[in-house]
Amino acid sequence: MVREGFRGELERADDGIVAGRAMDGDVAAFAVLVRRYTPMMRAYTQRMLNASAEVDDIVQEAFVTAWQRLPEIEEPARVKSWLMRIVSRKAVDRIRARRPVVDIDEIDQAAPESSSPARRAETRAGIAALGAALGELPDAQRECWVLREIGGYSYDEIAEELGVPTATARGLLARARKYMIVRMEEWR
Amino acid sequence: MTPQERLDLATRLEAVVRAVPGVTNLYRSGSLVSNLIGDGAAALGVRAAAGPLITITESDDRIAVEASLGVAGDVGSAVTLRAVRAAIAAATAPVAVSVHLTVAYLHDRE
Amino acid sequence: MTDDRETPELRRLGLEPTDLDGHTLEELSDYLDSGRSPADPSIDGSPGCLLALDALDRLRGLGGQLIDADAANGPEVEASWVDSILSGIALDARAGRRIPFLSGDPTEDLGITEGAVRGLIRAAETEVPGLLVGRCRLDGDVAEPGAPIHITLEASIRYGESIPRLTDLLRAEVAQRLSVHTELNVVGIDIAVRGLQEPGSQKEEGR
Repeated sequence: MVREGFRGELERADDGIVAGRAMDGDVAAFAVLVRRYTPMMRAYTQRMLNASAEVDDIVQEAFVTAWQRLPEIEEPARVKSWLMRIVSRKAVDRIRARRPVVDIDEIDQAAPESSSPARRAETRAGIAALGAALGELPDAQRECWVLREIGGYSYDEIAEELGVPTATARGLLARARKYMIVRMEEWR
Repeated sequence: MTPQERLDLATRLEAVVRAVPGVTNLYRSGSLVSNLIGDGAAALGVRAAAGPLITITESDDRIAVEASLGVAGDVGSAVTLRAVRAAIAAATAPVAVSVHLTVAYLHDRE
Repeated sequence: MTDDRETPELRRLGLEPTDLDGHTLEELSDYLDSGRSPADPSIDGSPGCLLALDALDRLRGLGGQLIDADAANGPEVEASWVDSILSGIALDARAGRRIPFLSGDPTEDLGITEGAVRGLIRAAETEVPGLLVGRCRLDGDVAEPGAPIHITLEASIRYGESIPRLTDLLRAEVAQRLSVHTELNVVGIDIAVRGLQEPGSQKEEGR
């Protein structure tokens, strides 16, 4: 069937074309975006929440919102970062719904005692070590770190997302970075 | 017309419309949702509540019929719509009818 | 004989201000963010700071890589996942304006939606191998019979294909389909080739 060839072409087409068609109502194009960015959106959400139970719900909500708001997008070619912002917001909404106030004491809370000597002795390459260290952070610190270092949010934006003063966001981030550096260096 | 008569008529007209060559689907207006079955994308109408997809109202001496349609791409849309109009008129005769028909989706010719 | 001059490599990494010659990790983060400029000699001249900056720098790049690795190692995107998302989205929002057909009979009001027409325009690409249609726009008063209507659409063309040949083909196909399914007075079809299906492509207006 002739259509088969086109399915493949659309699947490989650049974001600008695909997002442009999806804005116009082309369902097949929107499906391409879903297939293309679900893995990344799932990964980001999982790292932010440090748990996997709600990840699919959050990513699904993000896509439904994305469909509704696609006509607003100013640069269809930048649909990837646009989608990541939407899923980030959904993840934070979920977090704030069940934890309305950031525990201010988390700022001074030392990160959990380092893991077992056996684990320390293990040689872990960069991102594996990073992933493990990230999972050890207290919630608010991890969220700040993900928003900043992966999401690219500014301090003010982080503060707004989490509903805390900017100074608190900086403090959380500083703690997170300190812990992460120490853990990463241990594993070098 | 009683509500039951209106319902019966709408149901009958829906069958009449679907039988017109070139008509691929009927949608409740405001309800077009997407559906991707295997490799093909199509538009579905969702039956939020059971009931016909044709809207019937009465005004003056005639019946007003409204429908939102999917049509095949190989025949001109206007041609198909006029065929639908004729089929509806034939089904309601001798009662006069006015129609408001909109093509909401064109199925590409394969 | 011991060499008691400390080199950065031998010095243990410390992250307190005492290790950082009075600077905080936050300051160093900001310094890194700003690309180490304007240059601050008190940072650049401090071995402790340089160690910490290196560590921060190493950490910085890894975040994105982590997500990329997670994405690559994650499960395949299931068809059922895609379908469950698609079953929830409404196409009516994309219907756009209603485009009427001319009729001398006041008892009939026949029309087609802008959304259906855009779908029609996209479908024209099946007759033009090597080309994909992107966004399209109908400018003009589509509800006014006979009003001049201008179509603008984007296309992506496979590397190596002749842009003029394919855009001409597409234009003809779009015009033909529009004449079959609408009564629009189409006065122009602009095709903007916005990207070849390869990186680093050029943009060209076709008329």
